[in-house]
Amino acid sequence: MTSTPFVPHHDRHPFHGITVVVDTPARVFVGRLDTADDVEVVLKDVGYHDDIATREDYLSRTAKYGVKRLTGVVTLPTASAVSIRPLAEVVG
Amino acid sequence: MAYNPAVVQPMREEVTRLGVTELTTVAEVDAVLGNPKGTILVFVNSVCGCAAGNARPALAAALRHGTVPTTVVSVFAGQDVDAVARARSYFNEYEPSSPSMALMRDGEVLHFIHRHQIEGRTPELIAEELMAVFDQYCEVEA
Repeated sequence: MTSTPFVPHHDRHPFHGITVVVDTPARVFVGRLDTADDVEVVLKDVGYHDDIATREDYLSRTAKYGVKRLTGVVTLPTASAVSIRPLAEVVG
Repeated sequence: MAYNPAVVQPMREEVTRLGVTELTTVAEVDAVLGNPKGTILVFVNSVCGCAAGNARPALAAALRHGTVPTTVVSVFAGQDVDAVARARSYFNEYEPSSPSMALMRDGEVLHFIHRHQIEGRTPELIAEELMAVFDQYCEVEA
């Protein structure tokens, strides 16, 4: 297959450009991961949900209908992130 | 901010050379999606290298399949802004993402592939998904 050449960002986080789910104790975020290191996680085009009881419903709906963008950029302390996983893997 | 058209042109041609009709105006979008005949695949093209670089060859592979949609069109996100917004209005229960693909019939979305379902997947895997939904929903090519 031929395609327009794309040079991957080898110097970035493995999930750079991937839509991820970031769990924190208070809120679940879904957005495109820009950077993540020992200090902070930066997401772009971000949706989020605060009610833990309906978290799975939120993620299922997001997987089916897409990320409802609530804000452009979110920067989180890495220490607050319980997990960072691709949305496509969280909801298969 | 839109990319330089010269940079984008090869990405447009990578799709149009497959026989896909690119819709660049609201009127062109309405002419196709407002008057649907059979199954229509709408490919929302994108500059994004991470995902679109896999979506375009996946589309190419899937369109070589024996069963394909009646009509295949594309719009280019971030470039033909009005046309993309109009196209998305026909499947507005889905949040905007690009690249993405919507298989439709009679104004109903039969299957939608979001950007997050393209990211990190090989063109072959994406093409397999497309061919499976073509087999499920489309007529066999005469």
